Amino acid sequence: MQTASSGKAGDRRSAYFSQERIVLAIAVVMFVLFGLTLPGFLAPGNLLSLVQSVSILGILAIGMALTIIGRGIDLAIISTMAMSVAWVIFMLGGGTPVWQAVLLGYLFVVCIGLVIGFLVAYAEIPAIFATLAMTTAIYGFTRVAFVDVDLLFIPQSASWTREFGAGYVFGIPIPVIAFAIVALLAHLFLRHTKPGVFIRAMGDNPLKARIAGIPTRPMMLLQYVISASIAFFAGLVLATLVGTMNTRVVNSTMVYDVILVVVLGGIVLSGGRGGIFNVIVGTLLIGIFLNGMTIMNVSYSIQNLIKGVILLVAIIIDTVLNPRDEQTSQQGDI
Amino acid sequence: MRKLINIIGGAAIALGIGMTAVKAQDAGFDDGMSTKFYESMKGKKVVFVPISIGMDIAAGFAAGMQRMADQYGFQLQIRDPNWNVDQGVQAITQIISEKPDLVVIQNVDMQAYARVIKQAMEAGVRVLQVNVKATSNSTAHVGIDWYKNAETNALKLVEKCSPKNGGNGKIAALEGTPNNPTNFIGMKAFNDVMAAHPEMTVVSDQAADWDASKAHSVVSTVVRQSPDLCGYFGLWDGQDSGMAAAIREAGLTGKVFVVSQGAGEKAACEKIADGSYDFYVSYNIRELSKHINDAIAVILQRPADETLQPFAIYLTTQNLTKDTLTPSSCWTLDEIKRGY
Repeated sequence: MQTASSGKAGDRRSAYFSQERIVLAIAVVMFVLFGLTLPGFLAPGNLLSLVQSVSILGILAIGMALTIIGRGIDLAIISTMAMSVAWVIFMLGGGTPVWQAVLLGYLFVVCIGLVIGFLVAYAEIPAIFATLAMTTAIYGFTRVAFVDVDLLFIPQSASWTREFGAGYVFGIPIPVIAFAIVALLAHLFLRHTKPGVFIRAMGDNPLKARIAGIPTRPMMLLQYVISASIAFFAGLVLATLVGTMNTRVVNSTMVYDVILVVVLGGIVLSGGRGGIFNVIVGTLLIGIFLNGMTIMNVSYSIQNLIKGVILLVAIIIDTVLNPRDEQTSQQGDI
Repeated sequence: MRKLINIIGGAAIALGIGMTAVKAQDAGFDDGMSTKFYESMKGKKVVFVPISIGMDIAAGFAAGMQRMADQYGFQLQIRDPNWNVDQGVQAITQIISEKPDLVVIQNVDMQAYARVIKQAMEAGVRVLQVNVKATSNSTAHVGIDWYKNAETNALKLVEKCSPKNGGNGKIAALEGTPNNPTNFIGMKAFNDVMAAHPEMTVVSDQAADWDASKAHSVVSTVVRQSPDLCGYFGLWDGQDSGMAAAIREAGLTGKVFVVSQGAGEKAACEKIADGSYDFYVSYNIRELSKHINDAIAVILQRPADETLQPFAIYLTTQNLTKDTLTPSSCWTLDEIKRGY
């Protein structure tokens, strides 16, 4: 439990140059650069649309970050999001009242989280394999049992729900507020609740955490139920924002974008380190980047290329400034 | 004695007539083609390889074919690669060795199945391509003229927004995934039209990976950059619902003229009715599904060893606006399953 201070004396020298700060610096530089060169970039409307455009990615990244900090990973997060919300919309189409559909959808998501948690905590399957397998299992199960089409539109009878994702509160788009609320709750959870502290300890050194008396297995269950719940919430925001849920995202590279945000922000894949601020920094960098590229009308392939280069640069700078050695490396590093 | 023979003969004739009558009843009524037609369908084996059976249009095709198979008595099998090209290639290779009477392939793009389609043709398995055509020809192709659809939409934008017609000429395009064939062909049409109309200005040309939420992000940025935008060019309604949502949020519905295209599923008509799409080219899957069934009927009536000249059927499209919308303009999967 003395994770923060011990074993990281070597870090102190370079703590000022943590990846989080490097990425923040890149984001600030990009922001200033775009602000000076791109007309309209600094307009309040554009800044809101900038944050809004990455809010859903950010919410998902928070869910992903919680599992990674606890030394897991949830590759099924997109599948959970898409399929549970697809089922909700499908039920709405059949005339189920909204509250009932959402409640059933949420119960489904809790079951998914429990199954994943069980596989990881009790069956002791590595999270990366358990969740990879669950990705297709969730997709297949939902398609067979609940939903027979892959592109679902919110029916007109429930079109009022669009006010949720597409609405504004005090001029701020609701997805941005949703992102802020999830970020705040996740931060409070990680820093100020017992399970949050347990999850961080468990991520830093699972065996030590267990010896210290932390109920690691139930904590793992909790971890995956939380990430599945966050995925469900992100899906509801997404669906009510654009009016559809496209289950084909399960086969897309979206999960890599989520991991990119988490890793870019400086959360180490081997767990135990980082917090919600890292996720916010990573999300903002991607948001500034995408917004600037859209305004400059840069082509698709070049955008992908630049995105890859930014990630590599961040990782390289981090490796140079914070070299891995016996002191800083952890057991089970990926 | 003679009397007895007469009786027996009469009975025999009567029996013969009776038997003929029974036989005639068996076949129902033959107008000279119908018996032959039904016989050519009966017991045949048709295999369908969709992109993914969960995709609305593939489900529509399958429902149409299934209805035909049930009524004409041929066997329909579906091998679903679920978006996975490798599995699709494997499935088709496997199908070639099974030698069915016809394989119906919904191409993922122009290249992926081109080689296996050629192999199937060489192995004597007849191939009907649907929706998107591969670079190699096969027995037949039933599809959509992606170029013409996008051209219609681009010309509509010129008509609405050209300075010659009182607009400011500022439009934007939203692509799907650039290397996807429908995107590639559609954007070629768009660029050709814009080249012919230099008075138009394309302020933005971004891709959104056929993803409504990405479309939403891109479009909300673009309309804030260019609040006087006159028109937006979309390539697929599933993605363009995000575009329409962003335009509505910016309070520009009715000010930015949105053109889109799609399969004309019911949700599309709802979006045309509520003003999300101002002009919509519909490649109605109900009709495309009927064309597919027609092509199957033609192919199955020809002897298996006959070398057919490749033939094609291209769908006539519908241009839908709020004013031309009728209750039957769009379809639901359930309707196709029930035969409407």
